[in-house]
Amino acid sequence: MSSYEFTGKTIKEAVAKACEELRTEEALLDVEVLEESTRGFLGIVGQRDARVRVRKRNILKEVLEAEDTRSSVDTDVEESPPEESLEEAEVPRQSAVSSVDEGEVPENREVGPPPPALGEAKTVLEEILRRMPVEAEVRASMSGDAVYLDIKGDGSGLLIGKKGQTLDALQFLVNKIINKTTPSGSKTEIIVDTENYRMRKTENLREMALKMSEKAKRTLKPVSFNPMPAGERRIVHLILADEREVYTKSYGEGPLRRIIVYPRHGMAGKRRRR
Amino acid sequence: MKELIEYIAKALVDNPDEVSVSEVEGEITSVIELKVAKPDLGKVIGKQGRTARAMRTILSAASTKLKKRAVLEILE
Repeated sequence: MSSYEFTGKTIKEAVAKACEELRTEEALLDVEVLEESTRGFLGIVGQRDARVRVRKRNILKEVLEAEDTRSSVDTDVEESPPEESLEEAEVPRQSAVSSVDEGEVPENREVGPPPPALGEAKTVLEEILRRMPVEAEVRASMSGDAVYLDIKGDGSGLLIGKKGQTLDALQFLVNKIINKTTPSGSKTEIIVDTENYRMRKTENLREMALKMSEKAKRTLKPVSFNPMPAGERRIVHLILADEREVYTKSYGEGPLRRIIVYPRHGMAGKRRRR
Repeated sequence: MKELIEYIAKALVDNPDEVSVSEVEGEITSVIELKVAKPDLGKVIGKQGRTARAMRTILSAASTKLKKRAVLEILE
């Protein structure tokens, strides 16, 4: 069966293009990511489009199988509910497997007794949003030890901002305000989310991390990430922590701090990399 | 937008009574001036200016929504 390559600013875009071009739906395509897109440095150097290879699935065969068992379709549907938009449906597909702690955030409500911070955090966020003014509802729940605040409504990307900037700012301030008086050590972590952004982000990071580690293993040379904020670096470190053949380290200062993935048995100079 | 900054600042500092915010409105851009008690200055600026940056980010999101521009100035 023939396969085609597509490029786009993001993987999603590339897949969308593929669907359009081949006049089909994403569900009917096997997608293989060849290259992640990178923003490059200051948007000038090293900008690269995402590349995907898609292959049409043998629909007829699958339909016949599905008729037989129904099961294969059912699992498929669970993974990417059809009513979701293309973007969202795509996330679980590419990196199905296990999830990191941050990834499982949304659906587990009310685990253990909610600490007083829960209501407080909810109020603070609502008050801030009300003054922005954004009309949205905040749903508070517990996710492990952290308070998870989900902003419902509005729908626009306004609250997420460029690369999640606004969402991070909201989260940072709510954390600051809530933990203002608490002594360090007993601080409550508060996660602010909307439209499942955090989970999507984690999934994207996971994909990228795994790809980078593959590359490091293949080339036996250190592979460098683009600079990212602390929280995202942490996720990448955690994801790659169980990989035996690579290890990760961060270098650089402030906003330029980046992760470098080293192959364990690589002969490339580790020292020089600083 | 003034209320937004005022609320956040009051929530951050130890002396909320000494927070004062004024808005100087221009045609396109309005400047929001934030004044806090001296010991609280660090609280609204934050480590490496992180808190101030977060407030500015939220402010710019808010002003996008209102189709305006706003700048936050922290006065000493």
